[in-house]
Amino acid sequence: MGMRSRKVILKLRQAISDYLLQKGILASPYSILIVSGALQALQLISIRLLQKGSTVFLEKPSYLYSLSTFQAAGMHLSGIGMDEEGILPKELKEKNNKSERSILYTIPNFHNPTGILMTEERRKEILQLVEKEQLPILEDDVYGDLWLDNLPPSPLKAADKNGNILYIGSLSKSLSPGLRIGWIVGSQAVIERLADLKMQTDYGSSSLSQKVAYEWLSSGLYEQHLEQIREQLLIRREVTLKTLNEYIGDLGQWRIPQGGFFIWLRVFSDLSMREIYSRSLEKGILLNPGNIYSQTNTAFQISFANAAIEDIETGIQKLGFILRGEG
Amino acid sequence: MVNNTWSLMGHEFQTNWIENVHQASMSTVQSINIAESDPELIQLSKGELSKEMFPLDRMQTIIQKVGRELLPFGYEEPQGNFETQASYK
Ligand SMILES: Cc1ncc(COP(=O)(O)O)c(C=O)c1O
Repeated sequence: MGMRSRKVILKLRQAISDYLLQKGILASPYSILIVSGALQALQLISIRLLQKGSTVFLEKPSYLYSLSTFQAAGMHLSGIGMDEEGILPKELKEKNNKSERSILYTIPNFHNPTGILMTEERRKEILQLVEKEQLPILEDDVYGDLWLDNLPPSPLKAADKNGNILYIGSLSKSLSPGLRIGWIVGSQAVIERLADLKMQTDYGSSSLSQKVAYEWLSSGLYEQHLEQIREQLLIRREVTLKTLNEYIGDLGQWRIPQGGFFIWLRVFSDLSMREIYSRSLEKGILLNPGNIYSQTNTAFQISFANAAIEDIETGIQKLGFILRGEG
Repeated sequence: MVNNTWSLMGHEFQTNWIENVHQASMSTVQSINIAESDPELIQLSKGELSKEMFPLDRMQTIIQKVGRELLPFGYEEPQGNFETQASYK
C-alpha cells in the first residue's frame, strides 16, 4: 500500500480547532472533546470534575436552574445578580468563600434566559477576579454564533493562560439540536479525564453526526448558513419588538437583545406567574415562566426563533389581553 | 410474569432508582418539556430555530456527500473524531 493511494482526511476536532481560532481561542485538537450536545458537557463535568458539596456560582436567573444536573451530583447552586453588562463581580466576590471549592458557571454571550451580552469591560473584571480568587470558570457559549448587531467580545476562554476555564460550544442553537454535536475545550489533562468518562457513558458520539458536523464546519457552509440565519433573526427580532410595544407596552419591560433569540419580558400584573402561564396555555400559548430559571419577579422568556412570525404576533397579542385581565 | 433479577429486586430498589439516581426535573419544566413538542401550541419560548430556518438543501447535500464517501465506521476515538485516517483504494 503506497503513499500515493493514501487519502488523508482531517477530521472534526481539527475543524473545531480552526473554528475556535476565529474566536481567539487557541486550542489544539488534543484539548477538545466532542460531546453529544452541551447538555452532555454539563453532565460529564458535574460527574467527573466537581466535588460533592462544592458550590456552583451562576447568574441569577440562569438556564442551569432549570436542570438538576449539578444538584444531582451533590453540588449546590448559588445565584449572583446581573445588570445589563452581565454578572456582578462585586456580589461574586462577596459570596465566594475561598476556603470552599467552588466554580463559576457563566453564559457571557446572549445569556439564557435574559439575552444579556457581557460587555468587554465586565469580562476583564471577571477575569481579574477569578484569577485573584482562584475560581475556575465553566463558560457556556452555545449562543455566541448568533450575534445580530456586532461581533461579541472575545470569549473569556481566549484570555485563559492556565487552563482555568472550561469552554462549551454546540451546533444545537445555530444549526440543529438533532445532530447532538457539541464540544468541551480545556487543558489536555482535564479533557482526557472527561474523555474517559465519556467512553464509559456512550463510547463516543455518533460517527455519522460527527462526519456531518465536519462537513458543515470545514466547507465554509456553516459560516454562510450563519449569515442567512442572522438576516432572518433580525427580521424576527424587529417584528417581535414591535408587537411587544404595541400589545404589552407599559405592562412590561424588556431590553433589545444583541444576539441569540431570547427577549426577557418583565411584566407588571396583578396575576401571578403561575396564573399567566396557565391562562396562556389555555389560549394555546406555551410560555416559559421565569421561576424555572429561579427568577422571583414576574418575568417570561420570549423566543423569537421558533414560532412562525404571525404566531409570535398572535401569541404576544393574546398575552397582552391576559395581562390586562381581558383574556 | 417470569421473575428476573430486576423484578426480584422489588420495591426498595425501585424507590432508590426513582428518587436517588437523579432528581426529577421541576414539575413546570417537565410539563414544558412535554408541551414543547405539541404542534397545536404557539411556542413562544422554545430555544430552537424554526423549521423555516433549517438549511434543508445544504443538509441534504452534505449528507449525500458523507454517504458517497463513507467507509466502514465503528466505535469512535475517545475524544471524538480526529486522527488522520488512511484509506486504501
Ligand atoms: C445555555 C445553554 N446551554 C446548553 C444548552 C444545551 O444545548 P445542547 O442542545 O447542545 O445540549 C442549552 C439549550 O437549551 C442552553 O440554552
